[in-house]
Amino acid sequence: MRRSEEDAPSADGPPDRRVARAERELMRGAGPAAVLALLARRGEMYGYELVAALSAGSDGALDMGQATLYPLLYNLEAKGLLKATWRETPAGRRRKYYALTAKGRRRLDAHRREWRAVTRALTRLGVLERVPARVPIAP
Amino acid sequence: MKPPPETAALPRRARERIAASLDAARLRRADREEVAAELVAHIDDGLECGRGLEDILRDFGEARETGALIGRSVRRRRRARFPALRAAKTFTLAIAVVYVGLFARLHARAPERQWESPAAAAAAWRAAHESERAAFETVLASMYTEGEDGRLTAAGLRAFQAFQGKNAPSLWSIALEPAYFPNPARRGEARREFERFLRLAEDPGPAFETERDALLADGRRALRFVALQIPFERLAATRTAIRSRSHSHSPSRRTP
Repeated sequence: MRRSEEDAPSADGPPDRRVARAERELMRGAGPAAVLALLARRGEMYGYELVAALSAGSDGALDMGQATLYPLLYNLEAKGLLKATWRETPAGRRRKYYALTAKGRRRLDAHRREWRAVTRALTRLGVLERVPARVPIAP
Repeated sequence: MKPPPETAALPRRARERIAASLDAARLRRADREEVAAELVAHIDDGLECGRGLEDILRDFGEARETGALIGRSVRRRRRARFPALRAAKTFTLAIAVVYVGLFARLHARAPERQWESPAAAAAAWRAAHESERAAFETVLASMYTEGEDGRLTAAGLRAFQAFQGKNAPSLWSIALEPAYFPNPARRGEARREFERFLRLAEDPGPAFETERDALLADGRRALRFVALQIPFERLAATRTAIRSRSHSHSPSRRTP
C-alpha cells in the first residue's frame, strides 16, 4: 500500500478521477479494518505509531505512507468511527491521538464478520490454506 | 507555495513537500494549519525513531495526489462535523436552483401576442371588444405563451402592471416575481375560470361578487389567476349597467 515518488500512479484518466479512484480503493481494502482493529486493541494511537504498528503487524503487507494513512484517518473520522484529540508529548511537541468511537467498534465487528466470510470462502476455494482449528499458544 | 509556520523547524525539503501537498489540498486556513501540524508531527516522530528524512519523505507520495486525497477527506470531515451547516447549505442551494428555474420559466418565452410596450397592451385591453370573451382572449394572448397549455410570461406581467398604472416596476419587484408566481394557472385553466365567472356575471344574484371577492381575498389564488383581475373590472361595470337598466324598467317603478 506504500506509495512513493518512484511508483507514482500512471496517468490513466484525468487527475480528479484518479484521486477519486484511489480514495475508493483506500476505503475498500483491508486498511480501514486494520486501523480500527489496532485502535480497539491499543486504545489510542497517533499517526506515526499507527504506520509502524501496521507495518510490523502485517510483515510489511499493510505499509502505509502519509498519502494513504491521513486521508484514511480523516475519512474514518468523518464517518464518526474515530475521534481525534491533540495532546502534548513529554518532549513538549503536539501530537494528534486517534481512538475508536462506539460506532467505530460496531463497524469493526461488521468488518470482522465480512473478513471471516471472505477467508472462509477463499479457504473453501483453495486460495488459502486451511488453518488448524486450534493454534498452539506459546507458553 | 509558502510553507506553513508549523513547519519552520523542519529541513527545507520537508517544508516544501508539506507546502506542496497542502497547496494541492486547497483547504481552509484552520484545516490547513491542523493538517500541517499533524504532518510535521509525523515527520518528527519518524526522525525521533531514527529514520532518515529521505526515507520518511518517500512515504509522502506524489505531492499533488497526496494533497488532493487529504483535501477531499478533510472537507468530508468538515461537512460531517457541521451537519446543520451542511443541511442549511444544501437547502439554500436547492431553493436557489428552484428560484432560478422559476425565473427562467417566466422570462424564457414571449407571449403569443407581443406589443411595442406594456402600456400599449394595457390600452388594448381597455379598448372596446365585440364581447367579454374576445376581450379576455386579447388579455390571454398578451400574457401567455401559445396553446391551451400556455405559460404565464414576464412580458405579460409587465402589461398587467401597466394596466394597474405601474409603468416602471422596480428591479426588486421583478426579482421577486418567481416567489409571487411559483405556480400560475396555465392558459386553459385561466380561460375555464373566466368562463365560470362569465356565467356567474350573467346571473342577477350576488354570486359573481361573492366569488370574485373570495378569489381576490385568497392571495395565492388571486396570483394564480392573475389574468382574471383584468376582466373583473369590466364585468362588474356591465353588471351595474344591466342592474340599473332592469331597475329603470321594473314594473314597480312604472308610473300608473
